[in-house]
Amino acid sequence: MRPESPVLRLQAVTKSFAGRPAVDELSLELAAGEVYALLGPNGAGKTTTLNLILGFDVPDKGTIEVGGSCVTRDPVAVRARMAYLPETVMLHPSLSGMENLHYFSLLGGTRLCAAQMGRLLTEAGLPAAAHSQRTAVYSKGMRQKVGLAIALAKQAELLLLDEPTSGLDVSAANEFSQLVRTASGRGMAVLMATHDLSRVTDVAHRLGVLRAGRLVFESATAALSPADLEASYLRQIAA
Amino acid sequence: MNRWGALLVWELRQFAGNPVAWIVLGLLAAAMAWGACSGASLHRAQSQALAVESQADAAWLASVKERAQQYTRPSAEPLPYWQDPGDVAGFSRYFLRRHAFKPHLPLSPLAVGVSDLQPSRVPVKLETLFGIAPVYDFEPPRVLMSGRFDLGFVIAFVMPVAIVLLIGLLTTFERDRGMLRLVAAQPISPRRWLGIRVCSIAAWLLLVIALMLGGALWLAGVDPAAAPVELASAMALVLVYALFWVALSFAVVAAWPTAAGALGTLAAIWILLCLCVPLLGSAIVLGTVRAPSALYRIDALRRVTDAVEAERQAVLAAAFAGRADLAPHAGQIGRLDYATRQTFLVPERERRLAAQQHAVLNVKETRERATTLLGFVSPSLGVQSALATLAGTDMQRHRRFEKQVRDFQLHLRDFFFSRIQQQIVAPTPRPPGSYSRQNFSEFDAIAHFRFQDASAASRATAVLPVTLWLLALSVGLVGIAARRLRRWPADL
Repeated sequence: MRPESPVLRLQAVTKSFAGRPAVDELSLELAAGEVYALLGPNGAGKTTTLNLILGFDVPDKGTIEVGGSCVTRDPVAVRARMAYLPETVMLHPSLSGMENLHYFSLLGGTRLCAAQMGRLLTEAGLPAAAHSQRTAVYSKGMRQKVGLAIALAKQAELLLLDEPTSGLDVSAANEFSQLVRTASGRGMAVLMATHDLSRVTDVAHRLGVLRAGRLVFESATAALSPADLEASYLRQIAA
Repeated sequence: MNRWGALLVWELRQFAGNPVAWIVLGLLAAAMAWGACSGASLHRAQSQALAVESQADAAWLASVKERAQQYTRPSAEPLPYWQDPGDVAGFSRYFLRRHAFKPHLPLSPLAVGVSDLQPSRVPVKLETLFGIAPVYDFEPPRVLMSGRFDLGFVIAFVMPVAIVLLIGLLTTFERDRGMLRLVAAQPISPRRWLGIRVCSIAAWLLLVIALMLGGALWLAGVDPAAAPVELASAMALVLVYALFWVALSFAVVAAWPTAAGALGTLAAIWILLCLCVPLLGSAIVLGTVRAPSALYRIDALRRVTDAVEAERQAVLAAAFAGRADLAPHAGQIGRLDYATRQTFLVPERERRLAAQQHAVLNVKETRERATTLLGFVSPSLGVQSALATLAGTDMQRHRRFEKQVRDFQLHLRDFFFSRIQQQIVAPTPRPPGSYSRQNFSEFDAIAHFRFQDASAASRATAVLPVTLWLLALSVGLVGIAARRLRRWPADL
């Protein structure tokens, strides 16, 4: 799948810290419904890339557009069009999943009734019995489901995932993959920074490998078997 | 309701359901109630003491009048002048008993101020130099050293602790818990997100503090209708002071510290503003504006007293020579009684000590001006002084009282000295066969001290500069916070 009118477009984006490039001339495009896996070892620039897209950092060079709007020009407005799930979703422990969803919906600018919130949480895979429980008792997977419900509530065009399956057991990781596919099926573009190669072939349409901030390899996942992917990845990061 | 209004309502509800917030505010309420009751109890005791002293003055005068009446009966026994209330000189020296009272204002439980350090009842004697004898002992030194725990203290020092604690804890929660990244990914600016949070805390704080202050004063027995202007000014001052600490805390948490970092920074600022600046300022004022020492003053007083006594004849001769009515009676100088002599010698002692007294008053005024200025550097000091002003327990009111006591003393001197000295020129003939001299019977014409207080409006006006200054500082601090909040923290 090639993007016709990309939801996300990065053009020659460069960001350096103390003279050392963290992201170097990175160009990337994602179309609606496309899942892109950004691979790379620690320090390769995956999180910096996400930070730049979220507008937490400003690129030294290059442009980032989400739905045609420039991130650096108006990051707050652009954030309304994207959702983000950090590696570990932390919520207000004294509030229930429903109350957390209500709070983040208010922050996101959407106002939902209890029925809508319940539907979103269920859609994100959270059992109904847990909706009203304090999130202090939630597992990491359950908190991620609330995070996904927050993303769904925003009706975002772009979903950014940072190591989404890290720390999840196999069943929860599988469940999460299914949720990503659901999000993609609803037309959401998904950019996923991950180490989990097995999950990449499972959910991503395309992948790219970052090394020292440069995109050194890019491929459609359909063109690679899991073994080929692993071999290519190891070759790229070792080069 | 728009999106931000809905978020504000959500934050207000979160505060309302937060047990930590209510524990902190509950402790503050208890401290306020205790402080108000402590101040009210002191002032009740002082007011009772004034009433008792006033009754004792009246009882004493009644008894003196009765004795004077008794001594008018014919008798062959001589009566020395110091035992004769019907002798104007004897009365003025040995029977005159008048107190000047500084009554408490209705809002006095707001602050003890200097009411436990400065006398509110002063015996007015004709011979006391410059009106007030610097001797009083109302409270045990241990109580004076530790200071009174009053409402003013709670407002100036404890309330800021509660405010910084709540803002420090309730605005750093997301950062400490690792939630801030998820919050920052939402379409809301850091300025708006933290601003709404701080606004909701401030709204609760201002409401609860206003209720607490009203409740504490009610508990202390203050009648709001008795001092509406002062009460409104006090309420405005306290709320603006609370707003200042909210704004200061906002400026600190706008740098995105952790809870520990925020509380550490705010604690350091509290120590600096509430303790270090007043102590340092006080040390600088005491070190630079030097007054003659108490020992030096006592020594000077003794020297002047001895010198005037040694030169008594010359002083009296000069006084007689200087007045046309007395000059022809200079021959009586050697036969004047002690009380009559004092009518000439006391003003002479005051004349010789006037320069030193002037210097001491100058130093006091300079130090008080410096303390007022220091109140603009240390808000806690400024607020404590302003609360004392509204409560009527401030130094300025006491100075006004002292000045009026001195004026009253001079008025009494005029009344008595003229009558005593008239006896030199034209002595009243002693009634035949009487114990008493009977040259004085105007007991009811002796003036009573009435303290002329400043108006409520002038007290409210006096605290206006501090209130406006705190408001300006608050606006400036909110501006600093807004500038800092242009971006989310770099290390999200």
